[in-house]
Amino acid sequence: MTRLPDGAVLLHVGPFKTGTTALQGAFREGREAAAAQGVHLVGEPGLMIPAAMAVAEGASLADRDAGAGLEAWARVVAEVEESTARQTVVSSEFFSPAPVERARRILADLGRERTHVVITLRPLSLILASQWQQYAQNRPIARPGDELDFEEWLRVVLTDPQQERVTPTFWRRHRHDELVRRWVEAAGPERVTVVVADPARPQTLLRAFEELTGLREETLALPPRGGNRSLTAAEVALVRAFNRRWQERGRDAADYTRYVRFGAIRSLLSRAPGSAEERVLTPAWAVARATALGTEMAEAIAASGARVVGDLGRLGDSALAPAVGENAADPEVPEEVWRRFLAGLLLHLGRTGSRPATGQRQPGPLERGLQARRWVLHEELDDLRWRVGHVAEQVRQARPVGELSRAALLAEAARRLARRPRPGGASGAS
Amino acid sequence: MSTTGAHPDRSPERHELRGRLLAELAALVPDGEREPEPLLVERALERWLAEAAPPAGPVAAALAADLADALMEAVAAEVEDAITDPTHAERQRLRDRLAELRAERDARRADPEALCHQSRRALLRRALGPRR
Repeated sequence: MTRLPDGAVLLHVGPFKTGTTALQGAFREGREAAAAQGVHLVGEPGLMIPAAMAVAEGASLADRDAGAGLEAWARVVAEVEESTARQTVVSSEFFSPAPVERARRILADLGRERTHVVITLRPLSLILASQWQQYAQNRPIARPGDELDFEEWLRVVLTDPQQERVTPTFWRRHRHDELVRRWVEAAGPERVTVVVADPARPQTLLRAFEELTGLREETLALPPRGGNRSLTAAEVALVRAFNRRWQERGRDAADYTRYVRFGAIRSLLSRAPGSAEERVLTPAWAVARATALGTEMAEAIAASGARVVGDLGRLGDSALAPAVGENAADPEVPEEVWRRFLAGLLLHLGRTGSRPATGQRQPGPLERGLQARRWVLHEELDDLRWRVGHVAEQVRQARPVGELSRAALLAEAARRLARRPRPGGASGAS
Repeated sequence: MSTTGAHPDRSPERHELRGRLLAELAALVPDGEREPEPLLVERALERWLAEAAPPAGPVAAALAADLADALMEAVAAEVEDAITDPTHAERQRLRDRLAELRAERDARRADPEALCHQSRRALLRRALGPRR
């Protein structure tokens, strides 16, 4: 594998569900060691997601105003321009759906001549369940296809790839040959590398990026908590049912983003599911269809002119099938799952401060209400507590003098003497 | 994490579930990270336990979603009460205490023998004079 030239910008565009979270986590964990070897990772997740969404698709998170993403992108570009590192890494799967004209703009902003696009791929059969449950993690507003269970969704998506009604982003993200074609068209084949990591050995993804950037082997390590695990069958059933309640109540999308998507669901994902908890299973017919599509996509990618690292044959390898089968129609939700979800809600709701959101976040009505509540309690109750203390002291000062001991009388006299202004204005109480 | 004693109207099962939820919540906050506001947690849980009839053990997804939905409603109701309800418990408790103290202060001040009516000289005379 050829190391990228000094001064290069490595633009990793995902797509989703290809080990991106683990890779970004590894770069963040190893930031200092990488910096010492001349490699700089740009931005934090809080900056990269809105930046990439805005510049790649003109989209924004529900709790951001429209211009916030492009401002975040301007900060990313500024950080790249200011970087004096041997190599500068920009990574977000949210770049992946960009159409050619937007991809060109991204490359122009980063410096077309020095930017090298890296696309990470996994077999489609391994992506289906993961991507479906990911969609369930962001559904504050009802969308076509939300009512479909996994198998019904698979039938729509796999049998009619042209349809745009149900999860239209799926094929923009996962028609991997088209994805490669778009970036090759924008950057030129000599500046696009496709990395096909071994799904059974996630470290191979890290080794590929170490080689591309010239980092010593094992500078990057998988984060202790791994990557972005998928929801189990019971967890996704709970989240989907909760989303329906959210929609029925007409609750707000920005509140969902803050308290559910980046709140309770993150808390849910922080638990380690037991071995008996069923994952989302992919039916055998869907695995077969995805494997055939994978083979077709691999052939087109091989012909694209992009450099390929790893074995493209993996994309159509039926031996790499995911957990195959069918889940129960309505799985029971273990108490540890619903309890964690509830605790996650309480945690994130209870962390709302009294001050308005910073940056370009646009809080929803619930967040604004919680902020106002905190303000009322903080300001008004603090004032009441001060008054109670003040009047309690006045009560003490109004005791019948006959109740006081000699010592208490002397102490009070001394206190008053100390409070009497001295000549020249200096206070005796200082 | 703030906890109070058993609520007089709460069943042992609900008290246990409340304890398990608070333990789950505490486990979600690593040392040094910001804890959720105890008063909100306390009041939201009280409302939730009173209204949601939570069971223990595994439940259907729809019921689990109802439990979470009821918690959201409990938080929303707490927000509403805190902002608009003048009888909000903590505020009312402090106001009641303030009224009590003011009444006691005024009653004491009506007595010419109250400490606040004595001059420093009078205090010293009492302290150093013959024992009464």
